[in-house]
Amino acid sequence: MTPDELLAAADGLLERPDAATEGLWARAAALLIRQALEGAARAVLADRAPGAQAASFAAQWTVLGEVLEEEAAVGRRAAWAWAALTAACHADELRLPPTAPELRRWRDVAHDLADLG
Amino acid sequence: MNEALYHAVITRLLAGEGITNAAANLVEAACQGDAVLEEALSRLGAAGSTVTAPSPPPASPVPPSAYLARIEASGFRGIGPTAAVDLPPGPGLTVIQGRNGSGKSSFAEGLEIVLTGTCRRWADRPRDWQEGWRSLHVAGAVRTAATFAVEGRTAPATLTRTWAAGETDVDRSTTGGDTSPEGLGWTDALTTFRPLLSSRDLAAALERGTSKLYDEMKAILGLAEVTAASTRLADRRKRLDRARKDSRAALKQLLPTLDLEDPRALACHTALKGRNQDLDAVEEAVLGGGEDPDGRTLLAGLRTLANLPLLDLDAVGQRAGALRAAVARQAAIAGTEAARAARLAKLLREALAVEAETDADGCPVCKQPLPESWRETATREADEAMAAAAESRAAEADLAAALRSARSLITRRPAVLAGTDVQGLGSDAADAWAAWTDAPAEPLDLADHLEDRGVPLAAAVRTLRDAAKAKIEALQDLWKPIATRLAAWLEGARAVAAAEGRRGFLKEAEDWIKAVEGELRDARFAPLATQAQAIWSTLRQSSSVDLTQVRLAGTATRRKVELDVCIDGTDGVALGVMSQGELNALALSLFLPRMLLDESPFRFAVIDDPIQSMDPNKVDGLAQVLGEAARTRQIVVLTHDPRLAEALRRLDIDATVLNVARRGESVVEVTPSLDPVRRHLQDARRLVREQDKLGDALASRVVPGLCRMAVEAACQQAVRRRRLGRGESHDAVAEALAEARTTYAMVTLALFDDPAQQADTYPRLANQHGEWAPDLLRTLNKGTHHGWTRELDRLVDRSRIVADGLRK
Repeated sequence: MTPDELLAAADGLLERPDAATEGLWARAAALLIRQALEGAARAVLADRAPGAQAASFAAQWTVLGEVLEEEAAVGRRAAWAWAALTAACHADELRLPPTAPELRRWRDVAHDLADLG
Repeated sequence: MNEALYHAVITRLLAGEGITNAAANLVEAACQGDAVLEEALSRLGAAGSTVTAPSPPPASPVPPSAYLARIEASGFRGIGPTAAVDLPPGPGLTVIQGRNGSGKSSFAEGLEIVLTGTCRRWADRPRDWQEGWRSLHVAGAVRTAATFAVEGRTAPATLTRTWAAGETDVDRSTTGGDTSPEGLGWTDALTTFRPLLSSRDLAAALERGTSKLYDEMKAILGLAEVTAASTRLADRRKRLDRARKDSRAALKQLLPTLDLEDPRALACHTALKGRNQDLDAVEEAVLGGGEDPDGRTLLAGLRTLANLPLLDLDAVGQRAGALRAAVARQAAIAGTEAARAARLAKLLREALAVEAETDADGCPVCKQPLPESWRETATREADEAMAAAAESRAAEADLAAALRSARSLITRRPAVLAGTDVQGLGSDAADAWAAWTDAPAEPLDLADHLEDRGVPLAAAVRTLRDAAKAKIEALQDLWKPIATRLAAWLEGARAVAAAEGRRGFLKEAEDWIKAVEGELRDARFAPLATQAQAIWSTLRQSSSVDLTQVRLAGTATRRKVELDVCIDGTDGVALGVMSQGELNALALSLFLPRMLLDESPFRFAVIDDPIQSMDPNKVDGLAQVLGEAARTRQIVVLTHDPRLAEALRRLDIDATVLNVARRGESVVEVTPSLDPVRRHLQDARRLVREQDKLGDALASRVVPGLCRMAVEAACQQAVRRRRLGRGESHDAVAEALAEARTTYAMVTLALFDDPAQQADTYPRLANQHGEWAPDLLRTLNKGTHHGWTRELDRLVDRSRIVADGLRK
């Protein structure tokens, strides 16, 4: 699935309430948006910094910031969204699932990054 | 007044200690309402009235008790299309958790509106605060509803409130449904045992000052009717106090105006200036019914002066003239024939008498013989001379009459003119009168005296009379308005004086019932205080703050809740040293007992967001307190803090946890929050099951991530249980878990309790479950990032096995 497809799927969970996804949509959307974000980042890195994919995810986000020059702001926001999504994609009994507004913000960041790919 | 309370009061009254009979009558009457008290006051002091043993009033019906079965709302606050929370209608704990903005508080507020018609959160806020009460995503009518399992009703009762499509005022809703709070008889109970408690109530409880807290705490003691009786007595006493004060203030203004020469004013001044006022004297002076002796002298004196007789100057002139004329006439006659004739007649008569007495011949004077005709001639001459002398006698008589007449004008000086200064009007008239009476004897002198002294006397008397009249009028002009004011004041003063006895008895009755109220208050509050202390001791956990005493103290403006707080053994610590979390917990300790009272018809208590700035230990304490309360009551807690659900699970406290989340279009979902391991696995299984509907892609992309969360959650539970169980602090455990960032690290920590043993992790898993187990972890990690398509069912099954293994 492309980042855009993943984001479309996340959008469906977020904006079109359905009993089938009741209660799980928020975590599912977080997983999808994170995958989209990672996919978009991979595409950008493949294009602008071939070989960077060998590095760890955390390192990749640093590289991303470097290679995005003009769009450095998008890179920074993407790194921030990824960190937040990562927290949401790991279990934590002391944290409730992300809210729709949070997910929308991260989705938008992922879109922005995907548009650069 | 309810029966038990009335008996408690009257029994004390009948014991009759420390209260007079009259005051006791007032207490008894005050307990029975305004009308009875008024009547008792009107016949206060009448003989034979004694406190009678109470005939029990009809017991007020006990409202039916109820559990909460469902809260529902649509278009209300954060809730768009209809959303509902179903609650098991019986004792037990339900936690409704959701992020801020998820709509969970909308349920609590919806319930509040259904029950009370308003919402405290908005009640004292400006208008624009209220605007968010209507969901932007629903155009039509707004509705909130709550369903209760009510004692004595076979079917659940639903109470609703609806707002018309265009309504903008949140307070203008229409009640509907099966019945209403009033219909269930809950009106009073909703105030007394308010089953709703919000974080705002908790935060405000101690900040608004302990007098407000006092009011809220005291309300639950059911002493409102005694307080009302006490207020009834106090109101009437205060009314009398005010009248007395007003009367005194008016008098204070009146007194200076009485500083007049006017004897009536002086009399009033004397009567009023002291402590013991002589109202009768004032009334006499004002109404003129009698003046004091001094006053009579002065005013009567002035009136006498004003009425002094005026000398008739015409008469004075006439009499002076007559006197002079009489003197002149006499003078004119003197030395004339008439005067000599009288003497001749006298002489001849004497001679005739001598001649007749004696036989001697001749004249005894000249010794000449008397002729025969002498007797005849002498008699004739004597008669003639007599006639001539009468004129002289008349002149003499005239003079005497004129003198008498003139002297009659010289009247004695009136007594009122005695003294040197007559009534402050000078001594001219007195002097003139004195000179007037000092009359000479000589007729001509007298005539001059009359004319010389009469004119000044008349002038002086006229002047004095005018002055006296003017003075009387001046006094009247000054006095009249004062008299009017005095008369008005007097009426009030009479009423005040008449009420003095009543006031005393009212005060006595008031003091007595206040003392009784205090006794009853202390007795009834004691068990609640004990409960509050017990709750606090559970809640506080590691806090060093000890609550040694909770007491309602003082009255009126000095009322307060006395909280004796002790920190590390130091007494008398101010609330200010407590943290916000501790204050909230303390407030909860104070409020919770009220919600749990047997007298409350509400078997449910809804607590909105009790966890504010609570440290993790207090969250554990709260879980225990709520679990304890839920043994006999239905406790519903709304919270944004998942630590409560975690603590309940970890401490093995029975609870239903519901998650509230808001999706697009303000669709608010309420889903049961199971144990997180089971929850993630169930979610994953649902996606697999619904693949046809949702598409394969979604399941393959999401299921591995959910399965990984299930495994991680199992690790965290294992670590938390183990480490907290051996006494590690919440903070230390949280830190250890935070350091295990990857799934692999979490599993290591769960398996070995040691993050360093990573090398042993996969072998241990393989050993426990088989080779597939390490592979599973690798698959979950890979699939979380890139998706996984093969045999998703088996992926979920195996994740469950690994997770259960880790949790053991």
